[in-house]
Parts: sequence; structure tokens; C-alpha cells
Amino acid sequence: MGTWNFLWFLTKKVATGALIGITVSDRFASIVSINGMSMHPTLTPGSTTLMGWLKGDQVLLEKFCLDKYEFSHGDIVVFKSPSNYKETCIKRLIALPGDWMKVPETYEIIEIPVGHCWVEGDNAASSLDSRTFGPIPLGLIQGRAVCIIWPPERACKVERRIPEGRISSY
Amino acid sequence: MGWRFMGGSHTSFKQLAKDAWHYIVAVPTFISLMHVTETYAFSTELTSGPSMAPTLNNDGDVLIVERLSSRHGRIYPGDIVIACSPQNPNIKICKRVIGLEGDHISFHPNVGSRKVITVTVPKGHVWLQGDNIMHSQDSRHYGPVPFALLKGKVWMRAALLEWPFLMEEIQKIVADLGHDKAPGSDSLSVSLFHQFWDTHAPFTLAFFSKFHRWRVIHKGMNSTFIALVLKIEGAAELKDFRPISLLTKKFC
Repeated sequence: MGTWNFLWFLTKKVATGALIGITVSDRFASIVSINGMSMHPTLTPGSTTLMGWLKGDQVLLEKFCLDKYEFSHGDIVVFKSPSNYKETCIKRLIALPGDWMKVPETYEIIEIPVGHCWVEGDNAASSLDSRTFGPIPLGLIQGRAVCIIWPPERACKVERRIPEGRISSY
Repeated sequence: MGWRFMGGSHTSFKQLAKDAWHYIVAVPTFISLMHVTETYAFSTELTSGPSMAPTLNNDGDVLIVERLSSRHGRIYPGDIVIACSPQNPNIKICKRVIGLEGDHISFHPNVGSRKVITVTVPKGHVWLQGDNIMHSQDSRHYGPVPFALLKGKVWMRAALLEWPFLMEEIQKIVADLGHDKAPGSDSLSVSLFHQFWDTHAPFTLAFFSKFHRWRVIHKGMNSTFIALVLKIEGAAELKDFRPISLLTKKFC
């Protein structure tokens, strides 16, 4: 009898904790781990060898930017991939709606359509980004990276690096 | 809980603190429960706009949206979905899924033009269209929509007595009108309204919605003609005229 009571008590506590945890992670801040080379050297995957757990950089995301979807140039954002809704990608925002920019490696100049943005990885050589799938809708963005929290030797605030001379926003 | 006697005893203060803690924790727990239910189970949306007429009303429909299907990719052509607008991430749109990835969609780029464009929906995208083809901003304007923008599938529609006129009510009334009513002064008989229901339904619904919302009736509804036919030649007094009234006819 006492065990059932204890189990019920435990279940209630776990359920409450899970509910609050999910809400905080959806609305305020969450942590993602990096496992791709597209943002090297800013964010590196899997260099520590800890049994597959905590393998890459762990990045803190903030979700307050999703209230109005207002971002700045150079922000690192996490978004759902437009070619596969199950994957999330992390890249840097290069251009915002209304900006005119030159598409890299071509002579084209495009205007980013309203409600969309252009994302690129810092490691241009191995990054699947807007150069492949074009501008992405802002609604795909799930959060903005604030700082790296693990491993401790790489823990630092993520800087906004604004690319020089790529865009003009009028 | 009741009121505790606040006298001296250490254990009663501890009990008070414990009760207070339970009440304090209840608030974020409740908010979290609301958030999790709304994001992962069911949520409600209010419609606005004519793009899904005649399936959904212009205004005032409450939709019950289930969130699981879009999370697990179980959306099929014909489903009505709620999605984040690709043109403005702060607003949501409600459209029907016409095609999934790999489907070929053919459409007229402008209503009324005869040019046809055929598009293959790329991987990870869907093609959305509103039921009211003539008044809908959808994939024909902003292209295929990434699947991850879909936020849920419309499951049910709630309707109450005070809501605006429903499409079903208007449809029933029109259906009940006698088919072979004599043509009015514009020569359109009632059977025309029956046969071409799909074409005129959005306009008829818009007429009723406008009345419901703005308390405005089109000027033509109140206009009328009364023809005075002479009973005898050279009639000079009103009693010598026969009135033929054309009230309750809709003049456009």
C-alpha cells in the first residue's frame, strides 16, 4: 500500500517536472548539441569522447526571439530543414527580408522575399544552406544561439559576425 | 485546507509553508499543462478571411486543430491544415493540402487567364490552396510550403447560435426555394441558384456575412418599383390605378 502511494507521488512529481520542462524548453531556452561540420570553427561537433553523450558543442538557445520573429544580421539560428521536416539545422543569418544580396559564386543579385531569410554556414565548404535551397521562411526558425555551454574550454558567448559587403538593406 | 490557527506551534507554520508551496507550484504547472496541450494535442483557432469559402465561413468559425498529425508527417492531400504563413511568420493561414512532395500540380497563375503552369512539389514541401480559388493567397502565389511550417490539421468546427450565418443554413434555405418560381425582372429563376451553387456560394455568403457583421444591406435589396397601371383611360385619381408592386425582389 505504501509503495503504491509512493509510486503515485513519484509519478505526479515526474509529470509536473516534465510539463514544466517542456514548456520552458519550448518558450524560454533550450540546449542543442552540434553534430555537423557546417558551422566550424564557431561551433564544432564531436571532439570529446564521452560515450556518444555530450559529444559535440552544447549550445544554449533562446526562444524569446520567436515572439515577433525579429532577428539581426549575423545571428546564429536553429531552424527546421525545408527539405526534411524531421531535421533541425543551425546556420548563420546573412540576410533578412527586403535585403538585396549577391548570391555567392554567381553573378545573380536577389531580393530576399518578405517573410524569408538567407542562411549560410560558417564552413562554406561543407554546408547545406540557402545556397542550395534558397531563402527559407522565417517561420521555420526554432531559436537563436546565445552561448556555448559545453565543453568548458570552449564555453563562450556566440558572437554576431556580420559579413562585410555582402548585402545592402534599403 | 481551511484556516490554520496561527498560534506558536512550529509544526503548524511548516504546514502553512507546505500548503503555500503547493499553491505556488500549481500556477506554472497549470500554465505548462495548457502549453503542452495546445502545442502537442489540440488547440483552437478563429478563422478570418474568405479564402476557404464555402467550406469555412468568412468570419467567426472556431476550429479545433489537432497537432499530432503534422508532427508525425501524417498529412494527406485533401486535409485542411493550419500553417505558419511563409509571408509573415506572425500570422497563421488555413488552407487545404492539394499535393505532397513529388506530386505534379497544374494551375492557372491568374484567375481568368488560360495559361497553365505545372509544378513539381519539391522534397519536404506541400502545395496549399484555399477552397475559394478566386479569393485566396496560397501556393499559387508564394510557391510550395515547407512541411515544417504546418502546425496542425483541422479536425472539427464548433458552431453556436450567435455565430454568423453558416454556409449550411444558407444552402438549406436556397435548396428549399421552389425550383420553378417565375423569373424576376432580371429573368433569373431560382433554379439558376441551385445549379450554380458552387459558383455563387462565396458571394452569397459574403453578402450575408457583411450583413451580420456590419448591419448593412445592399442598397438594391431595399429598392423597389411600383408600377401603376391605368384601370380606365384618362385616370386622374389614385383609385383608378392598379398598383403592381415589385417588392421583395433583389435588384442588382
